[in-house]
Amino acid sequence: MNRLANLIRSFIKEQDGAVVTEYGLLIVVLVMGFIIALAAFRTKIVNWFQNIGNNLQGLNSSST
Amino acid sequence: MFAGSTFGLLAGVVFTTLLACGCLSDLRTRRIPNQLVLALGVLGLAYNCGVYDISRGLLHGFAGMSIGLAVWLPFWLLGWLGAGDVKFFAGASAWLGVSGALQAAGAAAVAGGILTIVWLGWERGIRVAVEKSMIAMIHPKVLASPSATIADRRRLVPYGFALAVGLLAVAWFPSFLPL
Repeated sequence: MNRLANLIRSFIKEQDGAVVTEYGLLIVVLVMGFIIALAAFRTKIVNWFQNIGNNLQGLNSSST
Repeated sequence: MFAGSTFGLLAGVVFTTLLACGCLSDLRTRRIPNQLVLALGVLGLAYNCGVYDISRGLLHGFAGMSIGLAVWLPFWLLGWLGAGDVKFFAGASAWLGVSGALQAAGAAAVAGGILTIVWLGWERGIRVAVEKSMIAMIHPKVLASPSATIADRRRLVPYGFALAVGLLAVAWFPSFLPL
């Protein structure tokens, strides 16, 4: 738990905006793979967020 | 995305200016300030609230932000990419929503690849850049043992520049990638 808190803290604190050249090339391959996988599940993700939105609106209208 | 209304065009100018500031900062210091990232995120949410209603706008913005974060966070965890870059992209994704953030990530990765090859050529000569790219196509594993570390700032690629190119391309010319 403490490790996770440290990780989050360093993520917030760190402001570096750079990449080692070799990793820059490797990232292209990995991101394209990741995007193709995500695009396959795109409708599921959009539906998921839409459901949350509908539920939130339902909550709003039931509380007023 | 921004074309069609005065509000959209105005938002587009703000978005482009913020990204240009991030680029400049990254090129000069290899850092992207948290204040800039925060401004991008908050204004992105506000923009979506202006386009849709408040709850849908916030949802659209946060969904884009989470996708932007999900794509790049693993690379920070691996120590390949700076946290500034990851937050910069996530903040800008608040403007784009889920499908925009996905398209922008794809475009940014391609821009990053091109920038890296150009940088490699500039840093270590065109021969090394071509050799390295050719070898990487056959044996990508050679890239996993880089000759510089993240501490060696002189050799680092300003990746925020590539991220901004991808983000701007998708924001101004939406659905140019079939995602």
